[in-house]
This record gives sequence, C-alpha cells and structure tokens, in this order.
Amino acid sequence: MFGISAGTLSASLGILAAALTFCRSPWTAAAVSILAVAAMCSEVTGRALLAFSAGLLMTLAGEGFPERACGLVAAALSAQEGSPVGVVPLLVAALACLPVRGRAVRIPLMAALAAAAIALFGMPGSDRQVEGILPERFGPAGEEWPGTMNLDLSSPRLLMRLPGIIGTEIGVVVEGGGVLDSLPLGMIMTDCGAMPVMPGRDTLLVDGSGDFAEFILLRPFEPLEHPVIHVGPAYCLPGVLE
Amino acid sequence: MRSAIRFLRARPGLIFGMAASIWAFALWRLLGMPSPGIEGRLLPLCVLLAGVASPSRGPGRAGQVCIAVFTIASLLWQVGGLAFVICRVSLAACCIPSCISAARGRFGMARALLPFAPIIILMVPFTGDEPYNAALGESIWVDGDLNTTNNLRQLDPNSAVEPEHGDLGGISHHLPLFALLISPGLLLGSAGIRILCLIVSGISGLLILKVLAKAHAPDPGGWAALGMLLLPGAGILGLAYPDWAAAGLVAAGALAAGKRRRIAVSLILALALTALKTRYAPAGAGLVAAAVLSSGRKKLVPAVLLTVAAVTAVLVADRFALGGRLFWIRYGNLEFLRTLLYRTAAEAGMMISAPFWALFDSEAGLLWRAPWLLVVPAGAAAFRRRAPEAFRALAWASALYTIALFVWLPDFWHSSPTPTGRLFVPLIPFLVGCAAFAARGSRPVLALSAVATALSMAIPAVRFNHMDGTDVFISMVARLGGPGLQAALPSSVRPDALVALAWLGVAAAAFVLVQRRNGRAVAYLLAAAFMAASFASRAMTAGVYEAEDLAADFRIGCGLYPESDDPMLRNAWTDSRERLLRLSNGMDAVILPVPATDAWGTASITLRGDPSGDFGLRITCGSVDTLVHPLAVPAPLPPWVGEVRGGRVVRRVAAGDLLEETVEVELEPGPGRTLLLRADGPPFATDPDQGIFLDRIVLR
Repeated sequence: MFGISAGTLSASLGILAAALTFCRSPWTAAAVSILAVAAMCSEVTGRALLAFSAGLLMTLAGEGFPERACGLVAAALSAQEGSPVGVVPLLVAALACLPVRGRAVRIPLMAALAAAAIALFGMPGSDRQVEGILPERFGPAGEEWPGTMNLDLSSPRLLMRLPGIIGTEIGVVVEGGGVLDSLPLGMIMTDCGAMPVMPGRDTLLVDGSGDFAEFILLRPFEPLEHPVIHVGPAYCLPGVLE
Repeated sequence: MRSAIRFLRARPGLIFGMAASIWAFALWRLLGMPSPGIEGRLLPLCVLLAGVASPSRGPGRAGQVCIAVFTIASLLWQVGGLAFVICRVSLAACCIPSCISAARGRFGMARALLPFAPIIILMVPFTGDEPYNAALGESIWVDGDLNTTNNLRQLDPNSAVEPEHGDLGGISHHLPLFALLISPGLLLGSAGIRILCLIVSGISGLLILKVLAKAHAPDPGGWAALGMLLLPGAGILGLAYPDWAAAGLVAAGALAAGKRRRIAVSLILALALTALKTRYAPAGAGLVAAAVLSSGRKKLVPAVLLTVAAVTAVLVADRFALGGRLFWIRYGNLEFLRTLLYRTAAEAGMMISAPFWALFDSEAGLLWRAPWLLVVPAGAAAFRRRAPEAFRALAWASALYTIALFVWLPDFWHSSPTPTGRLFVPLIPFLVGCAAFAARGSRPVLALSAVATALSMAIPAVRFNHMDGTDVFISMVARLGGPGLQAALPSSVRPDALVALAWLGVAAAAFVLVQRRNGRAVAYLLAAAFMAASFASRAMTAGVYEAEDLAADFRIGCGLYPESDDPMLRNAWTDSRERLLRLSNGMDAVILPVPATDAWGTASITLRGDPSGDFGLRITCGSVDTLVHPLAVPAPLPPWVGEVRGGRVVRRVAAGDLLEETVEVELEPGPGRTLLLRADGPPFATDPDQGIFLDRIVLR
C-alpha cells in the first residue's frame, strides 16, 4: 500500500525544513510547500504522492549536495512504507544523479535514467487497486445507474451492484478507446461469465442475476497509448424480469 | 546563422515556451496521461502561447519550478488522481508570470489574454446564463423580439434555455444590451461569443490600466493584468456574463472623474450600467454621486436636478414608450415593492451575515480564491492620495454596488452554480487600484492567488460550486478519504461558529502581517493554519458522516433532496440550506462500518421525518433491529409568512417544513460490524417529497 503515516510525513517535513534553514533556495521552499500541502490531504495515496514529489523535486533541482541529499531522504522516507510499484527505480535514478553538480547535466541525466527505469520496470503506480462503485437508483420502472464513470490506468477497476434477480438483463453503455489497435480494452466479469470491452461505443447486455459486475481495464501501460473506458449509464431492460 | 542565434538569444521566453510546450506535449503522450486530445494539446499550447506573448522575458524561477513539478507529477500520474491534477495546474501556473510580463508591453492586455484564450474558448462549459444571453442575441437579430423560447434549443439541446427563463415573453431580469454587444460572435457559435467576451474583458482591462497609469501606480500593466487574470475576475474571463463589461464602465467612470463634463459622462455611464443589468444601477449611481460631490457646491443643485430629470425621463420613456419593459413591469409595480418589503424583513439576518460568508465561505468565499484581496486596504490610502478623483468615483461606485448587492441578493451573492465570485467583478477596478499601491510584501498572497487561478483555468469544473457544503476541488481531492479538510473550513451551509471564528482570527492575523509588509510571515501563517485545520478535521470527522456526502461505497440507491444543483431552485428548508439524503423506497439503504468496541456505543442519526407518515427508519446493527417512526414535527413559520391575495395577507399558513430531529440507538459492544439504515414503508414513494431525509450520522 502506497500510504504514508503522519509520523513519516512529519519526519520528511522536518528534513526538508532543516534543508530550508541551511539553504534558502526557491526550490527547497517549493518542496517544503508541497510537503505542507501533503499534510492537508486526507487521502493517503495523495499524501504519499505529494511527499514523494517534494523530495524528488529537491533532489532534482536542489542547489547544494546537502539540500539534494535531504530531498532524497525525504522521498525515500515517503516511499518506504508499503510497496509502491515502480517507485524504487526512480529513487535509484535520483541517487545516481545526487553527486552531479551542474543542473544542466543533472536534469537531463535524471530524465534519461527515469526514462530507462520506466522502460525497464514500468510506470510507478499504486498496488492498492481501489474499485469505484457505479451509484444506482431505484424507481418503479426498475433499477438504473444514471451516471458515467471512467476507467484509466490510475483507476482500472469499477464495480456495479446488480439486482441479483434471476432473469434480469441490464443494458450498459460502454465506450472505450485511446489505443492504437482494435483488440479488447478490458472486460466485464459477472457470476455467470466474462465478456470483452472492445474499442468504440456499444451497449452491452449483462446478466443481472449475480451480486456484482466488475469492469476491468486490462491494457498495461504502453507509450503513446491512453486506454480509457467510460461506463454508464445502465438500466434494467423492460419486460425481461419475470 | 548568427542573426538567427542573436534573434533566439534575445527571446529566452519564446525558447522556454517552445521547449516547455514540446516537453509537456511529448511527456503527456509518452506517459499515456488521460485526455490527450483536449487537455494534452491545449495546456502545452497555453505554455507555447505564453512564450509567444512574452518572448523577451526568461522563464524565471516560477516557470522552472512549474515545469519540474509537472515532470515529476506526470511520472506518478498512475498513483492517483491528485498527480494528474498537479500536472494540469503546474502547466497553467507556468503561464501566469509570462502573462503579467506581456501586459507591460504594447498591446499588453491582448497579449496577456492570449495564453489562456484556447482554454477559455474550448474547455469551459457553456452553461449558466451564457446560453440565455446567446439566445437573447439571436432572438433580437433573427426573430426581432425578446422571446427566447424558440432560440438555440433546436441547434444544441445542451444549450437549451430553460422555460422559466424563456417563457416570459421577453420580460426577465436579463436586459438586451449585453446580448446585443456579444451578438456578432453568434456567427461563430459559442466560440465566437467567447472571443467577443474576451475582447470585452480585454477592453475593460485596458481601462483599468489607464486608471492605474493616471494614478501613477507602480507597474500599471502588471497590476491590470493581475486584476484580469486572478480570481474572481478570471472565473468569468471571456464568458458571456456582463460583469466584465460593467467593470469596464466603472473604470471608465474613474477615468472621467476630474474632467470638465464628468457629470454628463457619469450619467451616460450610469444609464449604460443600468441597461447592462439592473443590478449595476447602484454602481452607476455611485459614479454620478462622486461626480456631483466633486463638482463643488455651486453646481450641486443643477447637477441633482439634471440627474433627477434624466432618471425621470428614462422611467417615463420606459413606462409609456416601451410598455414598461425596461423597469416598470419588473421592479416598478406595487406588488414587487410589497414583495421586496416582506423579503427584506425575512432575510435581514442573511443580509447581515452575507458579507462575512462572501469572504470566508469555503465554497464561494473570496479569500480562499483571491487572497491578494488582503493587500487591498494597505494601498487604499496611497491610491486616494495619488488620484483622489478616481478613488472617489471607484469607492462610491463600489460601496453602493456592494451594499445593494447584499440587500438585493442576500441569498445569491455566491452566484452558484455559475462561476464563483462573478458578482464581485465590477469591484475589480477599485480593488486593483488599491492593491497596486501595496506591492511590497504581497508576493506570497499573489503566488497563492496565481495557483488558485491556475486551478480554475486547468480544471474549469472547480469554478462551479453548488453551495451544498462541499467545495468541488476539496471533494475531488478528498474523494477517497472522506470529508477531510472540509469539516474544518467555514461554510455558510453547514455553519460552525468555532471554525468560523478560528478562520476569522487567521484572516485578521494575515491582514495585520500584510499591512506590515511581511509576506514571508503570511506564508508561514497560512501553511500552519492549513496544517492545523487538517489535523483538527481528522479529529472532528472521526465517526461523523454527513449523509448527503456519502460515496456509493456507503449507500445503496438513495437520492439527494432537493435534487437540483442550482441553489436557487432548492431553497429547501426555512431554517437550513443543507441538502439531505433521501431514502424513499424499500431498497434504499445506508451501510456504515462500526469499529470493534468493548463498551456500549451510540449511533445518533439526525434526520427529518416523512411528512406523509408512511415511511419509518429501520436501524440494524448486530443484534439491534429497531424501527423508528420520526415525529415529523412541523417547524413554526415566521409570522410574516402567509398567503397573499391582491396585495394583502389573507390567511396565515399553519405550518412549514419538518423540524430536524435526532434518533439515538445504543450499540452493544462487539467486533467490527456494519450499521444498516433502511426506509421501512411502501415499496416506492408516490410523492416526490415523501421519504426519510438523513442529515448526519454520528457513531460514538
């Protein structure tokens, strides 16, 4: 889980504040401001992300070695809790750039190392896949899901609570795209089976007798691809319910 | 070759803009970030245009920091939604220093507006009064009337004019002058209207610049651009609302102050302001009053007579030549005056509290979005000393407009769901005029304001709040983490005296520090206040659930009551403006986690009962299974509420809305379990106002 505790956050803030005391560069000030914003964020992933970004920013752009080292420690501290996917290679890249003095060399070097790290280990992400839930509404005409939710690489799963009545059929409007081929983007899984989500717009019929339908974006990260699936609205088909 | 190198060396801003935009565009594509076709093109385009607008100014530290933050956040975008927000905001923020710099040169205002023009034209939804103003313009030119029911609807169903606005035969609070002003843009559709409105905003910015230059303010171009590009002005920059046009007319009034024919000019401007929208009439009156007062005692009587004669002539012409369409039918009749009397008595409390909430409310308050306003009082004395005539005109216009705004619209000062703070845009000439003389020590608050502006530019949705107690941006960030910081911020919908007083104290301290020109201390104070609020909010929200905020994870079915997002269409209760969660059928349910405890606990459920008495609330938790029928006690109405016929109150109305009540249930000790709340009654509510209306659930 890419979460961060208040203790770790405070430690990171302390380290960056100490760096600010010794080296009053605007970069350090920006990093400390980002970390202060992290303390305000109630969402753990967001908090960890901000803390990590602050540390990395200072490592990348800090003017003196101690300042950059403080930044790296702060970034490492925010990433040490749990197992964020793909963050450690970025930290290693930052560590390799630490001794380089000139910013004109350090920044391109860091960019090259980060690109290599992403090419080898993939994009950083969260291993905590929190499913969104498509809100439903009940009416005399049946159950319906009037909203639309998006699946992308930062939130690749979505749940839809089904009526759980045998014989119900649900029409779900699904729209997918952002890829360079016409292979399936993802799939819908229910108790009764699975069906692919193809690029383009379609209304898929889902069996409503189970508990949940799960929408999953299956495409991994590929450069130049932006896979996305829009799910909803959905509605119980009339006349099917016995 | 040498000349090319010399050319490029002289244009570091252009080089940076080109390099940064190519970098942002390429990174967006390579890393697979969402919305590559719209945001992935428009935001890098803004960075490029910022370089084009200000070619000779280098990127500066702010630009470098923004691009570095964008780069790091883009690497982490898959971790969570917040990273993508930071990516977009940092690109938009990168443009603001270049815009300010561009405003100092030739065609400054046009160049300052250039970078954000693509976003304003293409990304901001065409909503609110915008389609109405467009429909009115089309109706005037195409149909030759003011009836908008048959305009635009057939072209774009999303831009349809609502019947309550359109079916009035051309009689509404919208006047035709602004619609006429922007109507040439109709030839290019909504994009054309936005371009016309950008030109109107730019002209207003130019007039503000002239006022500042006349007052010998330091850096008039930069401050005029700041007035345009920072919130609240930026919220409707280039949008089809008349507020920027009004700001321009007010600035023109300040320019005319001190000149020979100032009374006649201010009278013309006052009539133009009134024709733009009746709401601006007090600002026009302020301009006239300032002109009359500055003309000396000898000219006082003729000036007053001239003003009275002009206003009378307009009213007579309206009544007899135009059939009362301008004023008489809307506001001049006896019934309206009587309504105004009753309404004013009813909303006196709101009128008194409105100025406080206009500054501090977390959804619509100006200080959250425009902390640069803190420096305004510091420069007022200098502005008055340097340009007494302009200061007097702007101060009178602004004061009368503000007073009238809070008296006239005590429940609509927030302008939700249209962009927040737009009703305060006519005050911008005065506010910028004062702020320009208090530049020293204002950098932190200006930087914060720039970030708030960048947020509203990059993510236009954050401009549109609904006055339901939750700010759109905070909800967006804290979606997965519960109410979070929102609970520790002041809200007029969910008022908390302690929170409001605490933030009043913070604002007072920040104000004192700004007066002392100690910008660094202001930054530390605000950071400390936000962190304290963050930690306080975690304690305040432990075990507390606002029912209407519950995500789909915690509820099955259920709907919001009232359903409309427009606060004017959901003046729900006489004692509160909060939305509630409506349970209106057998399937609607709320499911909350109850932590494991060794002692007995309580669940306090605050709700309004079912007026029909058909629905009860079933509460289930472990072995507890209780059916509660709320008392559904009607709230006593104020004595002035009654049925009016023929201008007289003929019958007192017996009872009003249902009072809020709290149901308490004891929870036995045990392992972690769930609390289930369901509506118990008929399968479906037959009436749209039937059901159980949940407000808050507190688990202790």
